[in-house]
Amino acid sequence: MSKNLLPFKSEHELIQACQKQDRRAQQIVYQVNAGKMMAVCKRYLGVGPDAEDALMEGFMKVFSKIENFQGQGSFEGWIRKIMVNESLMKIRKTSNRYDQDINETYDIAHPEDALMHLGVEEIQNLILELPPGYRTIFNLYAIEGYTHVEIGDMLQISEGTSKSQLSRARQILQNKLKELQA
Amino acid sequence: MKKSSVDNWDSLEKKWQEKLDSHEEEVPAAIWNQIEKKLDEKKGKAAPFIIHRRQWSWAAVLLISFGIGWWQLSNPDALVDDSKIAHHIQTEANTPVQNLPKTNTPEIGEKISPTNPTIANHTLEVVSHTSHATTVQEARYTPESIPEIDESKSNTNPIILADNRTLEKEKPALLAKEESVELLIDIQPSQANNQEKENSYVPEPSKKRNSLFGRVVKQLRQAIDGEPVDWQTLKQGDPKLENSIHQVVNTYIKTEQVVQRTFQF
Repeated sequence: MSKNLLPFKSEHELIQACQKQDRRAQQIVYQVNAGKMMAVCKRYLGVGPDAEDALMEGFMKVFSKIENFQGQGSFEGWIRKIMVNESLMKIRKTSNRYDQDINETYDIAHPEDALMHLGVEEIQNLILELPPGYRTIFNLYAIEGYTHVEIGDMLQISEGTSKSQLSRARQILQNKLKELQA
Repeated sequence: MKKSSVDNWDSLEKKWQEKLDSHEEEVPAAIWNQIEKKLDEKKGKAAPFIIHRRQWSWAAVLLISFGIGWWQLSNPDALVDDSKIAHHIQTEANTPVQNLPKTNTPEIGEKISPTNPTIANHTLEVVSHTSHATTVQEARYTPESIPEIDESKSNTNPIILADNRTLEKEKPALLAKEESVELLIDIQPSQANNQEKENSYVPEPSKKRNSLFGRVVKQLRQAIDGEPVDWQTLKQGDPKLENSIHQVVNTYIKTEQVVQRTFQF
């Protein structure tokens, strides 16, 4: 939240104003976070109206639940969690993609060096090319930093399923890169 | 080998995480407008009537309960609290005697008409009186005002004088000269000693609280338990309610239905 918060002097003041349903404060919160949150939603839902819907619903939730924000942890992190949950709800509504309960982990090779030097856009595109189920688990584990237990709770799947799907996602990413290099 | 592979993936993902954390996407301007519109709609909905159906049913039950309570309180035949009676006695006991309402004590020199039919035509004059639990008054009558005494009446109600002589026997003497007659008249029983009065009070046995509300709650419980309910019994012993029982029962039945619908009894 390094962007301009004027006329509010601090993030705390901005949040307090939002808790009083101050429209100006709400707009600033949106302006400061919308870009990042749009990237989060797109990473889960791909480019299209679903990501925009998730962003809109997510911000509605942010403004209605802001009174519950206790100031523990960063405000941006709290908004991000809401956006991730909103995206997961959208995925859940469209289809059940976590029904594959495989406890097998794939023995995948070292990541190619090329993967280390990918730009943001390329990474984003690579992730979006993953099938939705793998994409979700890869995003939750690799990008958001959730553990397999937490992912299991969030998606109502076993820890083993989460692990196996992550391995599969990594394998797919490796293969994609090979295809690109070839 | 496998472990090192995972470690490498973890470090790679950390790098990706750092890059993606600060990444921003372009947001269509229309999204904020839609959010603003929804926020306005929500603000409008947050008016006083945002109460849900369940809350409405509770509000209705409370309203009816308060209504019945108010009706019971405004009813003059409503329960009399023992503590109120005790308070009233205490207040009366503390009231000075001079503040008590003036009784019809005859003044000295005032002429009074006797209530006894045998001396109905006599004029009695108050010459003195003393105050105590009972007041002794001395009354004098004038000989010229003495009419003929009805024999039949005098036989049934002879006047007993202060020195135990009957008026009938002394009639000739009375006619001959003016004589004083002492009459005992208990004219101020209300001026009895306050202490006596307080002691003489026997509190009423406490009234059993079989209020309408209690009966209605009993009936509702019966209805909830699935037992047959006769709403007409509610009006028993309450003539006022007999006129408006249908309105009250209708209201209760409606409320009961709402409550049942809400809680799915």
